Parts: sequence; structure tokens; C-alpha cells
Amino acid sequence: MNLKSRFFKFMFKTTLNTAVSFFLLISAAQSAEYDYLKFTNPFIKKIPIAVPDLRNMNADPAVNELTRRGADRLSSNLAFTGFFKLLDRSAFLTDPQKNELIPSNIKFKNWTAIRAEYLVTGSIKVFEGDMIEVEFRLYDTFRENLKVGKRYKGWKNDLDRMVRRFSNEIVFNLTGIKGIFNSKIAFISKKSKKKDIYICDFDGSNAQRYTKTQSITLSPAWSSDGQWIAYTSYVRGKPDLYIRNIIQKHGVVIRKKGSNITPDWVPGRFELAASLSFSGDPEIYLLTGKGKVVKRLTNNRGIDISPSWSPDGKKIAFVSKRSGTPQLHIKNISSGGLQRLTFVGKQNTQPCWSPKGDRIAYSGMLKGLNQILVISSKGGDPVQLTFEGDNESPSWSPDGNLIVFSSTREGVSRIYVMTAIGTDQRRLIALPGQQSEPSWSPAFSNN
Amino acid sequence: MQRSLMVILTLGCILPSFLTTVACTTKKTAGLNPSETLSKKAEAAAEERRQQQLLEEAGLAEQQSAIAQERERFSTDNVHFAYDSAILTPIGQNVLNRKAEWLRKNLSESVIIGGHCDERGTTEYNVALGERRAVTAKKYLNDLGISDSRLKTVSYGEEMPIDMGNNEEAWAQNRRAEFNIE
Repeated sequence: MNLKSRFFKFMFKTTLNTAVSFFLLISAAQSAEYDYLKFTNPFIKKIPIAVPDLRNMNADPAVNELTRRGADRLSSNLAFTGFFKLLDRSAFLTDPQKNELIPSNIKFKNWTAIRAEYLVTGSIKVFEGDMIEVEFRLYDTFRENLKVGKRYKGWKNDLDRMVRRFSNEIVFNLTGIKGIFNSKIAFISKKSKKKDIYICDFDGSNAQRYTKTQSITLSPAWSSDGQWIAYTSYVRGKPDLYIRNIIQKHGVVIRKKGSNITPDWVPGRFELAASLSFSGDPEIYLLTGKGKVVKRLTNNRGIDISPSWSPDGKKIAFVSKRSGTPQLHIKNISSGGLQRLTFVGKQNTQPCWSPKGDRIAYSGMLKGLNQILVISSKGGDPVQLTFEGDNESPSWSPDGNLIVFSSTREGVSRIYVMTAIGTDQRRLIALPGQQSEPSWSPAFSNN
Repeated sequence: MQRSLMVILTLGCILPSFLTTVACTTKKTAGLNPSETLSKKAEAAAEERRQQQLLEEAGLAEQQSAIAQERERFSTDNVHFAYDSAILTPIGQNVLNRKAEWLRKNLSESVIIGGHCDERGTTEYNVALGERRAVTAKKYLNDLGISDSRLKTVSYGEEMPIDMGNNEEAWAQNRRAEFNIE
């Protein structure tokens, strides 16, 4: 952590209290009602929301760039979720720079007239040269009330982080689920036959190389506290399992005989499941975060790989070839009960259990190409979500509303994202080379 | 040191040419004499020895190149598999029989068997499938009496295709067990 972000953290801690009291003050009149939006299909009927430019609290026109950036970033964050329809700013009946957006002056009719159901106002004040104070408020335009308001202080460079925080507030306030705007995506990027792990922000921005193995590295997996990452790498000539602290990078290597692959962390614990083949064939084991085998979870000749934990940590979905072709199965850890989940298709692999627990995304081969499908964790008919090119490695966003995956629909393999029902499919990242195996981190709390 | 070496080399070049000059001169001027028949016999014997040596060398070289070829063939002949399968085909078994023969002849050699897949399956599944392929090949060699300690396996999944193509022919080439002499 560099000095700057430390400072920001410090500033945030001090302002958190003021922000809370500030929030209490302006929302005292409001009752504590938790009527979250209930949508059967939130991505089809998007919520119209208006995000005007932030108000420039300095006379300095140079600050206009920041006021626009704040509104732009907030808009793109909200649009990313697939929940919101961002209304065109040129249609607004109010000029954000003319005091019409200070809390006591808001004319909600001006916003309901353009069919905005929610309004986000903000202001920005630059002080001491490089410092900023930013305020945001979310209003329900029909009920004409304030949903949430926050004030942040920090460096100019911290504007995007402040916007991400308020984006989280908006989503939490409206849906009751933590926003994903502090989450990260780890993925594999291949360049001249070498594969390494990269990590980017939730929206594909700020991609940074994480491993420098000069080898083949596969299957990144985040611990549920986001502090650890496990992956397979051929650094020592064969597939070994690496467990590393994400920041300090220290950790352990599991280099048992054979392949040490497909890690998945137990929710809420410093333990993970992985497939190890030291016994002669790949079986799934429970390991401690330090790499010690706790117990064997599968026992069957042939391939057993790719565990994915249910969010309650009681079951794993995994791939087994016990019935002749690779199919998804579910194993109850305490009872040992086993259930085959997929029956359609000859190759169903890469299960990823949704954070809500009700569904499992996976890759199924259809007409020679892999596609992303979703099936109820209780079984039933799968729903196909992708149709173009080869699509692999689905990974849920921490709120369970989006799925990140890799696709060859535009040529070489790249990272794409879609809503949980398959709408709004778009590319996230295009780096030189090829990208694959995305893995979405947990929703980091505001840092 | 360097100078004396030069002297020897120079002498070595001059001396034989001087001797032949002398021999020719003798032939022309003196005609037949007893020493001539003697030297002819010696010459023939030397020639025969030389020929013999050449033959032996050629035989040795041939033998060596055959060994090298066998070795080369051992490392380049792959065992191929059907799609999503780690079961040996009759052709694959034949290839492995030849491998076993070679390994019995070359007892000091150890081998790494690499398991590979075509690109169609998903990444991790292919690592597991590639391993099954390598292990199946290894077990077959074990059954033919090749010691476990001489055979290692490693799966590369779909990461190292030989043919970059996106068609059945390329995929068939890529579904393989490869043999690398350690």
C-alpha cells in the first residue's frame, strides 16, 4: 500500500464518521424502510436513472473536467450492472451548475417528467491544490425522498475510488446486495506461448500482470476474503499448485507427483479443494491454505476435477468422468451423498456455483464448441446463455448478477461479461495475445 | 611449444612427398629391381588394411546412424488417441511395443511421457485427460516389463499443440502421448 492510499484510507476513516452523521442529519425525516426492488427479471426492465454532472463548488473552470469525470464514471459503473438505464444528460431540464440541485431546491417534477425514477446529484470542491471533497446523494424522484447521501475527502486521483464507493452505496440501497465496484477479475493472458495471471478492476480497466512465471500458468482462484490466490503453474516443469498471498506474494507450493490442479477456496475459510493425482488418478482433496491435505473428497477411478463450493460450504459441484463422459456432479461433504447434475451433452465441465446458491454456471459442448449454460443446483433443464464462438470458464460476479467468461466470438480468446440471464454480452478486455480463464474476486469492502 | 609443433607438422607434410618423389625417380631410372617387388607387396597389404579400416568405419558409422535413427524414432513417434479418450488403439499399442523394445535395448535411458490434448475440451479438463493419456501409455510399458522408475509422466493438456490448425487433422495430431528421453 503506498502512502497516498494510506492517506486516503486515513482521510476516509475520519470522514466516515462525518459522513455518517451527515447522512443521519439529512435523512432523519426518513423512516428506515427496506423495500428493496423486487424484480423477476431486472435486466429486461432496466431502472431509468439520471446522473447529471457534479456541481462545481469552485469558481475555477478547470474543475469542470472533474465534475464531468465523476458523472461519467458513476454512469458507466451503474450501466455495467445491467440494472440501470442511464438517461441522456442532454435531455435534462435542470442545469447542475445553477444551484437547482442543492437538496432544498430540487424540483422532482423536472426529473419524473423525463421518466427518471432515481436521481444522483453530486458536488465537488477542490481545496489545498490537490485535495477534493465530494458529495453524492441518491434520490427517489417519485417518492421525492433521499435514499442515501455520502461525503468523501481525498486526493484528486481518488475521485474514481470515491465514485466506486458511492456506486456500491446505490446498488446496496436499491437491491440490498453489496455492489461489485471494488471487486477485481483475475485472468490468464497468453503471449508467445507463455501464460501468466493478470488482475484488473471489475470493468476490465487497470489490467496488471500478477505472475511473471515465464511458463504456463492456469486456473486462478480467489479466497473468499480476497487475500489469497491459488493457481496451477508449470514453473517447475509440471502442473503444481501455488497458494499465494495476493499482496505480499508469499505462500506455498503443492508439488505432489502428477497433476495438482483446479483449486477452489472454501467460502469463509482458509481452506481449499483441489484435484491432485498423486494416488494415480485425479481425485479431489480438501487442503489447508498452507497446503496440507485435510481429507479426500472423491473416491473413484478416472477423472475427478474442478470442484466449486456451494456458498454455504456444505457441498461441491465437480466434474467426474465416472459415467463415461465428463459430467457435473454434486457431493454433500458431510453426508457423502452424490448426485449427477447434468445429463444433456457429452462434455460438461467448469462448474461455478452462484453466490446466491441457487444456480450453477458451466461450460457444455454443443456442436463441437463450448457454450456457457446455467442449471439449477437442484437439477433440471439447463439454460444456454452463449451462442457465438467458443465460450468457456464462467465465473459469477460477487453479487451473482453477472457472469464473466472467455469467448472466441471475435477471433482470438478474450474476456467477456454478461448478465446472469445472458443479456448485455460485451467484451471487457483486449490485451495483446489471448485472454482466458477469468475469475471474479469477492466483493471487497470499501478499502 | 607452439613452434616445435609447427616444425613437426611441416616435416610431416614434406617427408611423404619427398619419399614419393624418390620412389618415382627410382622407377623411371632404375627399372626392375628386387626391392621393387617387395615394396609392391607391402603397398598392396597396406591398401588392403586401409580398405578394411574404411569398411569397418563405414560399418560403424552405419551402425551408429541406425542407433541414432532408432533413438530419433523413439522420440518422434507419438501415440495417438481418439477424441476425449485415453484408451490405446491397436496402432498406439504397436508404437508402444517398439518403444518397449528400444527401452529394453537401452537400459540406461529414462523417459518422460507427455500427455497432450486437442484444443476442444476446456483447459483444466484437458490437463486431466492429458494425464490419463500419459499414464495409460506408461502402464502399457510397465506391463511389457519396463521398470516404473524409468518412466515419468506429465500432462500438458492443450497447451502445446504440434499443429496449430483448427480442423480434424490438426486435432488428431495434437491428441497424443509424446516420449522425451531424459
